[in-house]
Amino acid sequence: MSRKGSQEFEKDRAEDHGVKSYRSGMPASPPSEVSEQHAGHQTRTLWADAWYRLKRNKLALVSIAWIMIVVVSTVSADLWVPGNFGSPTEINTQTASAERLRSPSAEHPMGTDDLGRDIFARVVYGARISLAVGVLAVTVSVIIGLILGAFSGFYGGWPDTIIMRVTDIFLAFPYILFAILLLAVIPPEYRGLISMVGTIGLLGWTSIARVFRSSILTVKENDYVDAGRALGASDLRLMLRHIMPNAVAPIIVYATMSIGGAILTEAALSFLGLGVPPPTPSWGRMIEDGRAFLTSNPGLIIWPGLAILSTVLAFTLLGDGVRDALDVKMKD
Amino acid sequence: MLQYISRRLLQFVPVFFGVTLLLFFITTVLPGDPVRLRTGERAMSPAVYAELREAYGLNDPWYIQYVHYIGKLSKGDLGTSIYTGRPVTEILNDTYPYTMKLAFAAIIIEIIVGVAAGIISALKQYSWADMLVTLSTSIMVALPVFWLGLLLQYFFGIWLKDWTNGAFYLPVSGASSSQFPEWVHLILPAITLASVSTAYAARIMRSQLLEVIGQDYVRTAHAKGLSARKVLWDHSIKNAMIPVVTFIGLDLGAMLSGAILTETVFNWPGVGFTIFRAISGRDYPVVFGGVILVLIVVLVINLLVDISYAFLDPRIRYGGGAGE
Repeated sequence: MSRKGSQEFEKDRAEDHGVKSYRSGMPASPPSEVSEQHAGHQTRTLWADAWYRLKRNKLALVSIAWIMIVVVSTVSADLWVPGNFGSPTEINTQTASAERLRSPSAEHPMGTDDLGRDIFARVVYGARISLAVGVLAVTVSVIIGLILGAFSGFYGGWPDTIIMRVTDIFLAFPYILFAILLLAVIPPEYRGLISMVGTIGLLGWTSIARVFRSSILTVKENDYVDAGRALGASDLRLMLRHIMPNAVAPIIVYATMSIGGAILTEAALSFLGLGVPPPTPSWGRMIEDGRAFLTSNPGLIIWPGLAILSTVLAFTLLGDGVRDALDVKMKD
Repeated sequence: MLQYISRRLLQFVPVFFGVTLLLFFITTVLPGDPVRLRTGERAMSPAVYAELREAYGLNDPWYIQYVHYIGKLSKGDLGTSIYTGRPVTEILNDTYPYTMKLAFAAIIIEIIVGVAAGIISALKQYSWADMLVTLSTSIMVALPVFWLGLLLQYFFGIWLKDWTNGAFYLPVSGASSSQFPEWVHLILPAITLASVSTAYAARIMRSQLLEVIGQDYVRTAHAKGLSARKVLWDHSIKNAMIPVVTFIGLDLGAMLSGAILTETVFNWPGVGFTIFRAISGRDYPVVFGGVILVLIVVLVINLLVDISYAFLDPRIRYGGGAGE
């Protein structure tokens, strides 16, 4: 079906980014850098070069800093959160009625929820689910997408046709509807991190497969691939040593950008009640729970929402930075 | 062109069967029992239970059910809802217009706001307006849609009502009420649904226009003495619009397939909300009917977008064989 259409769309989005970075003089390859490089007679690998450029992108650095803060605070949460702000999950039946729906104070910086639990503690712990799903789901998508995309691009012919038809089917099926259906199959007591990662991962591979397929199609025309083949390299060696390293940059860019999308999807599915079951805090679920108190206590939905927004934004901007740093046009 | 269209229509066939087979496979694995759900907690004699299961064909293996379903579908029969007993075609007839209204309202916002913001931002590059557009589109893309919906509900439905002592506010739920006509009910859901796409439309418009302005033919147009206005509208914007139109077209397809999150937040009685409730209630016939309707809409709109592409951009010719 819309094979052409969606490719055009991906291309347009990529062009959009590419042009923007070029126009705004982001560190794509400013002249000063070139002369600097020549003056110092440094030789840098592609990756060192990319890191050098990334370091000069302020937005990307701020994003990295924010992601680090979120990661460190949520990983170390057991050490400092329950002691200072209270448990994110346990409900103290003695004090719950007196402590519920408190406004922000020194003791509870974001207030308390309807069960008397500290919202700040729940937001900090909620990052665990979001980050885990974001990173793991994209990892699943990348693994499936790389294998099928490589197969499709490298061999062509009928494997290519079949794989591309399957991606058509996936793309024709409305995304969030597909996710809801898959999660509805799983009984509520088994729903959790694994089902969430599996669902989002399974739905995300098609774009990765297409991006990788098109970059392989470009790379495999190169003379050095023919040379490798003439020297008797096996398909696997050609793939891993000659094609993969030159086709992988768009995937890294795409994967970084996808983490934000996966976090958004997780939040949406949790909001619809299909996520990790309570009492484990997740940002989407907290927003769903807070809906009932929208009139009197909008804070219940504002804080987890800001957490989602800031984290997703950080991954998106980091993705932009990585794209500029690797100088990926994503124009297949 | 005809050859291209017929080839594309042929490609619908595997996609259609792929999606419906997948759907059947997934839903038959679903553990909940629709018959039990329909009768609720009331006790039911095993004989009645067996009879109901038989009546809905739930005892057959999934592929037999599938063949039966496709057979009925070809006659335009989508079955009846297990929950309410109403024909599925009737349910979709009632709900789909709401999805269409929401989708078109959102697309209008997207076209006006998105395209205008993109043009302004490109023409006044690096101005504060450009900064504002760039910043707000980045944020809008990272916003959870359902959260934006809830914030709008709070701001326009609750805060504004308190602030004006109940004189001015917007409805936050449903599609009709005694105080407001339907189009007022449409405002907040439409803004919510349009948010992300408007941001993308603005970004694409901006980058396309910037690229076109730098082209040689635009410089030539200036050089041969055309007025700035003519160069802008006839030479620049017209060409820059092509990818934007494609994006908006594909987006319309996506919106017409039901906005589950927006419709759920605003209790908007569209097809997305209906399908979502049907999934929760294991009301298979409604789920199948809804998904098939949505699927056909998406496939047809995507085809229309690709065809219109050829009209908009004369460089594109869809040949018989290697066109794609």
